[in-house]
Amino acid sequence: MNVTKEQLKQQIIEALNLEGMTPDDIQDDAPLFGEGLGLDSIDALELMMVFDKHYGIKLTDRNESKRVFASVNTMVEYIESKR
Amino acid sequence: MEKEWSGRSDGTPWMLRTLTRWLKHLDVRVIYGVMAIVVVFYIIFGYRHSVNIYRYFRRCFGDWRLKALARTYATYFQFGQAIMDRMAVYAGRKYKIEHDDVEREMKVKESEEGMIILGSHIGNYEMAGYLMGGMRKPMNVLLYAGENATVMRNRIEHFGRNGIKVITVDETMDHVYAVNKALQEGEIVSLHADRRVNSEKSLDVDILGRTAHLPAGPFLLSAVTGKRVVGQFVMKTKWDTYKIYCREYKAEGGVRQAAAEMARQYGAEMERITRMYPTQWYNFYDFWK
Repeated sequence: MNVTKEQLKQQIIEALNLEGMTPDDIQDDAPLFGEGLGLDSIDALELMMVFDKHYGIKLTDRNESKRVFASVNTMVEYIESKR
Repeated sequence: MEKEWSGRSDGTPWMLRTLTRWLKHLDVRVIYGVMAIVVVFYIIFGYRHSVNIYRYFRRCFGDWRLKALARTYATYFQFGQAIMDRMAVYAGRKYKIEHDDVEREMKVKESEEGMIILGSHIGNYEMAGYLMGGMRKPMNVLLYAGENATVMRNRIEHFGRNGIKVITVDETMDHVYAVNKALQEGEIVSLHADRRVNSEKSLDVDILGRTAHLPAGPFLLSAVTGKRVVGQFVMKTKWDTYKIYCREYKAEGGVRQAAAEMARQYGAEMERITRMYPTQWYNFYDFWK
């Protein structure tokens, strides 16, 4: 089964406790950190845990993590590539 | 009034180098003697910080004025001792270590899993890294990048001598990846859990009868990764002796609830230790603001 962007957005909202947000509020190609969704370093760690818990993917390489967590699009592409 | 600690330690490179050189040849007690006079100037000219410590004794312990003043002096003097002791270690001096509960401490520290050790500005936490060394697991220490360059260089050099790796916390998020990697590989990550630096996220806990705002990061780190979290306090008991208090914090539930509960437990431990050693409280700003 392929992961949908909708599913991933929902998992992000739940994991990061983004109250009042819906998947529609997160753009597929918007940056998650900095000027985009404005996530911080602990949020990055929580995203790593989402990957581990839901997809069995352990991200420990710094450069790879930065590339993967750029946006919802890059996250979905990476999950698909690992399946 | 500052909302959070600026994160910098004091001292010019020349001063720090000279002190380290002196401590190679002089008994540290001679330096303590000189310091007993020098700290008076620090109390007077660092009035803004002194007032915070004075108020800490008045509000948290209900000290009457003269007692609060005397204990403010004692706090400055002991803080000076803490800094001198670190310098003395840089210069090669050894200190004795006692343990509050050595069995519990070893049981926790010898587990195979990655672990987070929380430190604070109560007592001389950094001494544990210098004195203990030889831990079975590799150890990583998080240091704030805005620190005084000489202080940082000394720390990195002496941590390195004890096989401790330094992870620098800065504006980038590189430290998060380094921390996660270390924990996943079964290493120890050590960081301060009592001051907010570069982060607005905090958890409210009751310490000494008033609400304090501890940084959320260290507790979320444990809750998110599911790694064990241990609080460690290194308190000076005699001129040449430190005592280590070590306790594990556990919580269940969702990430945020677990983090909040661990912060509450840590706050309670901070209070317990502070009540035993009130003059080793080295947060020279309005901690509860």
